Amino acid sequence: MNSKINIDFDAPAKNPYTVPADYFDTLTERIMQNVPEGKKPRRFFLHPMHWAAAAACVALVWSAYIYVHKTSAIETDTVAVADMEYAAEEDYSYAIIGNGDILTYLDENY
Amino acid sequence: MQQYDEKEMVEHLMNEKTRRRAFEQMVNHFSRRLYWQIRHVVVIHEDADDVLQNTFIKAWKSLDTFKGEAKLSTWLYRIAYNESITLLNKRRNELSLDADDEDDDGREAAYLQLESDPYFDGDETQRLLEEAVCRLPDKQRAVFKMKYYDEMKYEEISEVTGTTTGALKASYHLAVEKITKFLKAYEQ
Repeated sequence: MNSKINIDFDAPAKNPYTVPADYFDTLTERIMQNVPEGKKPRRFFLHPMHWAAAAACVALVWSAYIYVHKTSAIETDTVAVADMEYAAEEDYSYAIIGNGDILTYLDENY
Repeated sequence: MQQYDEKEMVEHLMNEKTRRRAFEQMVNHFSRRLYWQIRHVVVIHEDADDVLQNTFIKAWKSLDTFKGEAKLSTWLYRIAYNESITLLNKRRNELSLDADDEDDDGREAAYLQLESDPYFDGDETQRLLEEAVCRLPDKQRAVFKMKYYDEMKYEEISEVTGTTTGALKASYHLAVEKITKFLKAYEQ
């Protein structure tokens, strides 16, 4: 039988562990060697000349956009008017022909 | 020795220009206590050293997530505790693969590692105590060590582990019962 073992769990415990000699003396240094360099903030810098060039580019693109859209709008209007005129003319020509001329009209036009 | 001011330290840590210097001061201030907290949980010196390094590297990488709601020490202890439990799980898995007895969970093998640790200087009673503690589940072991060796209050342990103080008290008393039972069995 072994001797009685008494442990007071409420009393401060004695630390049974040790560390290698000088371990704590160099600890901070060793840890910091393994800490990666911090990310440097990304600085965004633009020279006034670059700002001017960028503004010119934007203005150019914008002008081109406006020009293209205006032109296409005019073309669309023209086509629409021409179509309307043609349709009106066609209706009219069809309406004025007599019954006897229908076959001739169809032969000539279709 | 430079006076530690938590508020000032946090301000410097949040500032990109002073961050690294402040972090070094923080390491210098907390590393010793953190080491012992980790060592008491993971037992082996080399493991404690690895976990300590990982703790500070993780802290450095996640400094931006530190909101200042908890104390800096609590935040660091929480990282250290999680890293310690992760290492214990890893070690147990490694040892369980080698152990024939699956019920043992490799805990006894963890104690055998301690026997060969040159940095353990305890007497026979402390060796038996460590053997008993190594048989506890990981989290219960950590709670016991934080209370018994690090003399942390239940409220502090609660902040670190995220467990209620009631559950911690129950866990600690259960751990004491298991250890006492183990020691009584040894006496006979």
